[in-house]
Parts: sequence; C-alpha cells; structure tokens
Amino acid sequence: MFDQLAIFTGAGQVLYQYNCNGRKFAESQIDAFINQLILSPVTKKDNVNGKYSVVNVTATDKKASRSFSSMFYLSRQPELYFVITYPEQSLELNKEAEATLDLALALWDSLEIDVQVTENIKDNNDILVDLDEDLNKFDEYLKVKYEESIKYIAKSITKDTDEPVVKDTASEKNNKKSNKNSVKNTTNKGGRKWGRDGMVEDTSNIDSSALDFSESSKGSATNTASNSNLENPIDKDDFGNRTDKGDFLIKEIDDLLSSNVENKKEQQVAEGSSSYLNSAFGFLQKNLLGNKTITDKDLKPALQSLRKKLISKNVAPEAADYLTDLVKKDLVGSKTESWTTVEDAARSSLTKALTQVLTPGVSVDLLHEIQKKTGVRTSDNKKNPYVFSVVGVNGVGKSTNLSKLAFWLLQNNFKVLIVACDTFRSGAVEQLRVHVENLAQLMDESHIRGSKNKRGKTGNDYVELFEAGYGGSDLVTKIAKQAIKYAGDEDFDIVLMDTAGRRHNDATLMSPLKSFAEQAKPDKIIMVGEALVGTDSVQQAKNFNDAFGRARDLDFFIISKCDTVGDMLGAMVNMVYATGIPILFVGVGQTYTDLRTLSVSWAVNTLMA
Amino acid sequence: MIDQNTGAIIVGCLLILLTTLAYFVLTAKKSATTSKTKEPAVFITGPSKSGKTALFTLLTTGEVRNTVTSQDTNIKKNYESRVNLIDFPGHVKLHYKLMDALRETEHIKGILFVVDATIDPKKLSETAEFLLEILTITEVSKEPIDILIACNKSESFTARPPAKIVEALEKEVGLTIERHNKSLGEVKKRADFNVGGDDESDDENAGFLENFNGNTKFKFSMLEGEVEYMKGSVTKKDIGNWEEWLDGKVSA
Repeated sequence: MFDQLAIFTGAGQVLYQYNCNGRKFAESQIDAFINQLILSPVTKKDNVNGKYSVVNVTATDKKASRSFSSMFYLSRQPELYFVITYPEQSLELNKEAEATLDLALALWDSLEIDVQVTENIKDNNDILVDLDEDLNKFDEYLKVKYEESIKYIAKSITKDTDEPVVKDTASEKNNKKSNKNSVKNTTNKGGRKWGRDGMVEDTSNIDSSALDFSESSKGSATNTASNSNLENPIDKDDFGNRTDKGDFLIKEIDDLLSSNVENKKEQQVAEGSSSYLNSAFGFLQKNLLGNKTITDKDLKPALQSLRKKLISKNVAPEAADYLTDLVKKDLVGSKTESWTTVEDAARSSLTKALTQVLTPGVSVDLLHEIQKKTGVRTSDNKKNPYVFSVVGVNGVGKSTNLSKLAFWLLQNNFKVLIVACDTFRSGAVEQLRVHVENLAQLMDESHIRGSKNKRGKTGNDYVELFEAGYGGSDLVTKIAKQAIKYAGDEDFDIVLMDTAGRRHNDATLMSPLKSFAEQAKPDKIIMVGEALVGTDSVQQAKNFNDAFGRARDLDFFIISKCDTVGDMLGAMVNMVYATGIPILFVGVGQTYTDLRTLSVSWAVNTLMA
Repeated sequence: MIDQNTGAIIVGCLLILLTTLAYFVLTAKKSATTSKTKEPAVFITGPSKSGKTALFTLLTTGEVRNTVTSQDTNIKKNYESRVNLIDFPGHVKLHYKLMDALRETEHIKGILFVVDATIDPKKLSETAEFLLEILTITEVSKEPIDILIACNKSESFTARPPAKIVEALEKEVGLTIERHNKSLGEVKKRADFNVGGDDESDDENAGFLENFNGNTKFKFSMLEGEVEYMKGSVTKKDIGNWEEWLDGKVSA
C-alpha cells in the first residue's frame, strides 16, 4: 500500500490529494519530499526504470516522523508534480507505486484536465477555476481503479497458496483476464462483480433495473464514454447486480483510457504535417524577435555551446550535462520574451541553474552556532568546545586553511585549540607548530617564538597546539578525544583538528574516517578541495562524503587556491553538484587573511563570463 | 529601362529603412535585457511554512486551501487591477528569486513578510537573517519600501503576540548585523586576489550594514521604509488588517 498521492504545481498549489490509508492528508510529508527535491534535484541517480524518479527522504530532524520513499513524475506545460509516497523501497511497492502513477497520469490525460489548467494559467485566473467537476471525476475514477488493482494483488496472494506460484502480478492479471473470458463469454459487455474476497462472481442472471442510477452518473460523464457505449451496444440483460457503483465505473474508465490513446495517435499524425509551415518565421523569432515557443531542436545548438563553455571552465562533463539538462527542462515548451534569442534565454536559465546549485540549502551562520554551543556549559561547569575537523586529499591546503580559519576565529575573540591529528606525514606536527607560533605572535606581539605557555604547550593563552607525536590510526581517535576533553577543561571555545591527507579512492585510508567521526563527533566536518583539480573533484567530493557513513555527511567545503585558476572555477560546481553540500569559504591567497566567504553571484558571473 | 537616378534613390531609401530597422531592433534588444520591470508589484515573502501561498490563495480567490512547499513564484497579475501580487518561495535555496526580483522591480509598493507566530522567539535567527537580506536591498533603493510583518496563525493556542515577535526579531536582526560585520568578507572581484590585506567594503550592502556598526542598536524605526506589524490568521480568514494595509499601499 502506498501512503499518499498528490498532484500539485511548482508554486505550491495542490490540485489533488489522496491518502490511501483513509487518514487525513498530511502535507508535511509532501513538504519533506519537496525539501529533499530542492536540496538535491534528481536527475540520473536513483532512477528505478527511467520512467519515474524516486526520491528517498530520510528522517533527519526529529520533526519528520519517519523515512519514506516517493516516486514522482514532473509534467511540463503545465508544470505539475505527480507524487506518490510509500513507506520504503521494495520491489512490490515500487511496482505498485509505478502502476498507480501510470493510472493517475493516464486518467489525468484522458480527462483533459491539463487543458483547463493551462487555460487558467494563461488567463491569469486561479488555477482551480472550473476544475471541480473534472477533479471530482478524477478522484472517483482513481479510487475505483485503485481499489480494483488492490483486489487483484490481494487475489494473487491468496491464489499463490493453492496454485502454482506466479510471482509477477502483471502476468497474474493477464491470467485472470483469460480465466474470466473462459468463464463468461460476454465478459466485455457484462457486468463484473468482485466479492469481498476478491473473487469474480458470476452475475449474469440478475435483473438490470438496479442499473438505473448509473445512467445519471453516466449522463455527467464525458462524451467519449457514452460514444464508446454506443459503439458496443450493451445487452442490458447481461449486466449484473452491482454491490457498488465501482464495477460499472471501471468499464467506463477503461473506455475512456483506450479512446484517449487513439486520440493521441491522431494528434501526432496531424502535428507531423503542419510542422513545416512556420519554419521561416520561426527562424526570425529564434534569432531576433523572440516570442518563440522553444523546442528541443532549437535549444540543442545553444546548449552545446554552453556545455562547451562550462567544460572549458573546468566543470566536469557530468556536471555540465546535469546543468544543461536543467536548462532544457526549464525552457522546452516555454516562450522566449520579445526581442530575446533562444541563446539568451538559455544563458539566463543557466545562470539561474548555477545560482540554485551553488546556493547553500541551509543558512550557515558559523558565529551564531559557535556562540550557541559554547554559551551552554556542561553539567560539571566546563566549556562545551565547538569542534571542527578538516579533511581532504593530500596537498590541497588543509593545514593552511585551518590556520586561516583559526586566525578569523581568533579575531572574533575565541580561544582556539589546534589539534595535530595528522600522525602519518613526517613534519606535519612541526608544520602546525609553526602556524600556531605565527598565530600566537599575531595575537600577542610579546609572545616569544619557541617558548612554552604556562601549561607547557606551544602557543599562548589565545591559541595552543595539542600534539601527541606520530603513530597509527587508533592514535588519531585517541588524540581527538583527549583534545576535546582538554579543551573543555582549559576553557577553549574552538577545537580545530587537522587530519592526514588521504587519497579518496583508497579504501584502507578512507575507512578510518568513519570511526574518527563517530568517536570525535566534530560539530563541523570541513572538506578542503582545491580549485586546481579537474574532473576528479566530483569523485573526491563523493568519496569523502560517503566515507563518514550514512549517518554523517560533510558540512561544507573550503575551496582553496582560487587565486591560481583565474576564471576556471569549475571545481566548485563539481563538488557541490556531486554532494549537494555548500561551499562556505574560498581561499584566495597565501596569507592568513586570504579567506573569504563565497559569494554565489560572484562565482556565477565568473563562470558565465 | 529604369532611370539610374531613381535606382539610386530607391537603394538609398532602402538603406535608410534597413538601418533604422536594425537600430530599433538592437536598441529594443538591449533594453529588454537590462531594463527593470516597470509594473508595480507587491511581494509576499517570509520563511518556509509560514503560510505565504495560503495567504496568496486567500487574497486572490477568497478560499482557504491546503498548500505544499512552493518551488516557484505564484503570480497574480493586476491584483485589484492595479499591481502584480507575487508570492515567493521561502526555501533558503530559492531566496535568490526574491532577491533578483527586488533588484529588478522598479516600483515595489510593499512587502508582506509573513511570519509564523507560533515559532519560539528564540528560534527566529533564520527569519531575522532572511529579513536582513531583504532589507539590505530595499534600504538602498530609491523609493523607501514599506514592510508589513504579518504574524500569521494567530488562531493557534501557542501564538505569540505580534509585539513580542517583532521585538525578538528586532533583537535578532541586530545580532545578525553584528555577526555579519564580524564574519569574513565576500569575494567580490578578481582584483580581490593577490592584493593581500582587507578589501574595501565598497559594495551597496555594506553601506547599510555599517550604519549599525558599533554602539547603535538596531531598531526598525531607523529604517527608511516603514515597518509595521499586525496579527492575522489565514485559516480563519482573519486577514482584514493586512488587506487594509495592502489597500493603502496599492492605492498610494
């Protein structure tokens, strides 16, 4: 059983909602789905069969009661989301959701609700004007059809026990249809009755007068339904007594659906012949006048040149494809404004897509979060230090950016403890010691280099180095835990942990990260990525993000060495595309002050220039 | 045989016609890409799940309906046959839509900032951040833009009085400005690289934020635009106050 079915517009207007469990429709579930969709738009990933996309929503905060899966279809022109939510991904549920979505779409099409919706949008009307009747009908049909399919499934399960096992429900359906044919020669015209147990009952010898009230429901039905009734005149005597309206409706719906398929075919033929007519004017519209409805074909050259451009800026082909895909989805079927060419429209759409990709999904106010955590003391009146840990591939600038971050935090009057968790590389601890000495001197000019503070550590009152020499990976977690405890005891606000650089595709190096994150429980895990890296950035970001297990993700990126790449900022896009995790800072130079907040508009403009 | 003179004249006329046409086309094209939206507009905005789309539907149709999180704007052209009423999505990732519109719309008659009154005043920091983001743009525009803080869901048992909310919001905005001034500067331009030292804060936003640097405590009354607050409830159709405010702005 699925949970809910909803049809709504991108702007948040709900056209149709149905809770299959008979409970009140819960918008919050759909909201959670949309939230997930905004944060990480689905393209190729997670697709079950290419037809519909599946989004898994995991319960992250306490408010979202539980995790669920949702399958959705997005129709353009008008923009409508058809969403089905169900408790979990399983073969059976996926199949059911897919079938139901198929049904809903087919019904939606055949009732031609789209036409009215498009008209409403065009006329600047409310989207639901004159839709009541259609939607009611949709509701009625859908429920009936859905219940029918449920009964088939229920039946197939009961049958499994006393018949040779047939796993596939679809073939089971076919079997049953042929069964029916053999039982009753008049299946097509006759009434069908399903008992409570889902068995077909023979109902051919019951008086048809009970049918009378169905005429009224048919009267309000569409012409197609009554037409097709004329085509196969029904022998009324063959109609059975009906336990509820459902049985009769099913036939009506089936007729409606099949007639719609034929209509579509005709339409396609008609369209094919008339498409050559406007080609000359279309050329003018495309390149000069604007006001042109964009088709897939118009967009192709524009998208190709944009894609090339993105790749020339170091964006990975995978990410470039994704972005052009977004543009295509945004534009196909829409109309260009007057005096804009298709290329211009594509450019501005790409700008929007880039902006949306790079904009953080949650507001990150580090100072606020630090104040919030360090403001609360633990039960034994000790400080709650805010813990950062920095990860990344070798040589991307983890230690340098950590020092830059430390400098900024020091300027905001926090006491910083820097922890040397890189216990592998020779000289890593010594390098950090130099940074701590530098920072200590910047904070207090009277600090003498090489001197120890009153606790016998490198540094002074503001910044201090916590070190424990070199060793294996179990030492790393030990150091981390000790450092946090030490920071609490000695009243430090911030703990900054430097980790060893590691190659992202080496499992033996990556696996200790998980236990490290579980033991040390850093508040923020920062990945430093360099702007210099090319296509590999996608994989780097992905692997590092996955390294912490399902329960933990990276929190943000620092992109280093931005001053060395000019306008080739593609690595930024790659990393955010691969993980959906925001970039917070960018390194723009060699000194401690050369750390900046990312300005999305700056990055987008540089990329589009 | 055509006279040579006539031929020259015809060619000349054609040339003139063509150049003027080309000129018009090019200028029109330029203006289309750079010009601001001329039509006056009222914006509905606010954080997620505060009831913006519900308010929008109530204003435009007079009905209360279920809505889900918006991913795109709701637009009602010629609302009250005067302005465009636009409802923006509240999701953080989609704020750029509002910010772009704020910059590109010439006549903003007013902004309805919808707030969920049932939210704990201590958890308003994100709302304050969002409001500040809006203010940094509206406060530097030519005409002052008025904002109504619409405290929605007043029918709820846990709803706070609007004065309390606005007071908390004011305080949070102040704190956010403080933090903003402390945080690292943004990357502005390529020249920012390799220069070393601090970048000059010459951008439009900093001008507004620096007014509140140091000891001055932030107050809504210090703003150019007028900030008002009223309570109301979309689900109970109790939005008379807001409509009055809206009418005042629209007809002004």
